[in-house]
Amino acid sequence: MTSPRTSFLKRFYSPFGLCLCLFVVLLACLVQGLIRQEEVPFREDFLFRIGMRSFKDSAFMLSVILLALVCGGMFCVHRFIHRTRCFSNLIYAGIWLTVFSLLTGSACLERYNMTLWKGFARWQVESPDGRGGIKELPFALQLMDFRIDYHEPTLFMVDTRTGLPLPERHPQAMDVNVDRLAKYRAGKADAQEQTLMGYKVRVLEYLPLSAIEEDSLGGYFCVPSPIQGNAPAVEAEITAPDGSLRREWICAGGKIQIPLFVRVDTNQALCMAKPQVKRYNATLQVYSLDEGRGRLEGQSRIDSVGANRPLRVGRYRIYLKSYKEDYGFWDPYVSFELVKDPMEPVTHTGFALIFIGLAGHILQNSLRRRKTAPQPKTEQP
Amino acid sequence: MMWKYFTLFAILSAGFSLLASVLAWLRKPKKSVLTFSAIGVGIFAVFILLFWLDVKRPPFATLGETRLWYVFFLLLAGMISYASLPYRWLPTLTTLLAGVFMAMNALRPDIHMQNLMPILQSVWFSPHVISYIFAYALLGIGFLFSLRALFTRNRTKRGELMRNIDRLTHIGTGFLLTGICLGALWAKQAWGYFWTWDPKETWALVTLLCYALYIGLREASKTDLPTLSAKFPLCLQIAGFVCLQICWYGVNYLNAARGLSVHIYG
Repeated sequence: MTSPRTSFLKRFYSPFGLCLCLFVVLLACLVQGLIRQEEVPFREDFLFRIGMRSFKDSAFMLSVILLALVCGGMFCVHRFIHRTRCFSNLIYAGIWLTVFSLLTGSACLERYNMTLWKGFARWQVESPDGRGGIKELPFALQLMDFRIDYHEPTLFMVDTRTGLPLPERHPQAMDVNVDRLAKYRAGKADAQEQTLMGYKVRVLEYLPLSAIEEDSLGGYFCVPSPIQGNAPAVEAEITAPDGSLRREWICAGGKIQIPLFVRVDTNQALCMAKPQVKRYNATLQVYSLDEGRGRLEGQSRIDSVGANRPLRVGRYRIYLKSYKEDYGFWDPYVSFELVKDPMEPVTHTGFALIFIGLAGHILQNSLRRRKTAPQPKTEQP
Repeated sequence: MMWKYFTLFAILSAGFSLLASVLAWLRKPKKSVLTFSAIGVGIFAVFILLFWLDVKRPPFATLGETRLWYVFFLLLAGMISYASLPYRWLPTLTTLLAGVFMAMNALRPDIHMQNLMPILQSVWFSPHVISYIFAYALLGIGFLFSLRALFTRNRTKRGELMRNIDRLTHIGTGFLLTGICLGALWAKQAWGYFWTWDPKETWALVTLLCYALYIGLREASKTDLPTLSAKFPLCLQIAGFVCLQICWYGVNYLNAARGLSVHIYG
């Protein structure tokens, strides 16, 4: 016979108890998913006043996650005791550890902002909300270089009334092929050619960074101008359906440059889409500081930061946060975010347990199925 | 450029899959049904491969491209399930569901540029999307089984269907969990957060919880709740499938997510 205390506790770690707990978490997540969550709402409506617009920070959400952690923890312990040779235990333990580390990690995570420009070194950071004041780091960062590379531009035929690419149901795009252009220049291949809405477009020249100039007849043309923030331009030969031919420059334009497009008839224009960033990279010099006196120790290293490539300095990870690609040298500020997450190794352990558990579970099940599969009958002599 | 041939490849692939469905209904040998199914899947795989070579990047960047993989995995999972299970209706329902997503891609095509934004140029990109889409396909087949089980009165048949749904849900949920974990690891590398309660992440968690609840209730029905009706977990399967659709592309249209999610694409 089980005691009343044991049967009460069993409600928490039994599959049904865990299901009830999961159901409450599901309801809480549904509230989050269906109600717009905004820290600074557009208007203070009824949902904002009752705290539904910042639900993830509410006491209810925290209680629900804590309840799930308690029930899940008891469930894991119970399974580890009663089902020792089961890989799915690792999955449950991994999920529990991950949720626990994410919850505690969000409480002790430190995030700071730092704005730098070329040649400038800093060792002070600000908290993102501005309320935490300024913190001094045990190292200093100097921005040595910042570079943005762009994908080759794309040409579209655009409806001049709506501004939408044509044909509306399936817009045609012409990606400028730089390799083909190089071969064309060397005389090894024909110029890249594509038909857009009946107009044959041939790419004759491409400038990654250009400036627009006016000729003596009032027309515009582009010249190379290697300054960050300048827009790319393409010189194209356009053959109309009636056979008439023209040669024009097309430029995407930007914050410091007007766009150039070719109006092929009253309703259509050949335009260049805003170029997409291929990669961005900041080169940083990291100085370790002599603590207390705030002067450079002389130990330094040069490293780079980019998308998906944070830089690790001590217990901090440095992320490239924002940059204004359109303004080029007119806005040289580059923002970095410094993150210190003491729970990161625990979260990684949680994920590792989940992956090992999933792989082991699949392997264990397939082996078990193979063992329990009926053996082929052998003929009796 | 390759995309303009999509309709042709889709019609061919759907045609062979439909032929396989008809043969299944006519109780023709499994070998012939599977041959035509395999041709259908193969044609679609060839299109994906040619499209990949054409765009010169992994084709997972837009909503339409994820639909391509969904159709491929759905047809593949349907074919493998049919090979091991005795259900004549399975190829038909799989083809119909795949056809809906093929039609979506044919009627509302995306602009497929070769450019891939810097954040997507990561080693996590392909495994994250593939594990998600593979999970979606398996759970999609599970949804078809659930519909069938809901309208089956024969208890033995329903029990057998439930066992197959359990198997599909276990594997599908495993891949969904893998996709979420890979996404969290990628987010940490890209932005410094494992989890931000972004609307897409929230709906991924809702979907995972629906299926976890299904697994939990099925487990509970063997131990704590032997009287639990099978219809309740089946309804959860359908709710899970609806949440999965919201998570995949529904968040693009949800007022609660508009302008807030970094995952809005397509």
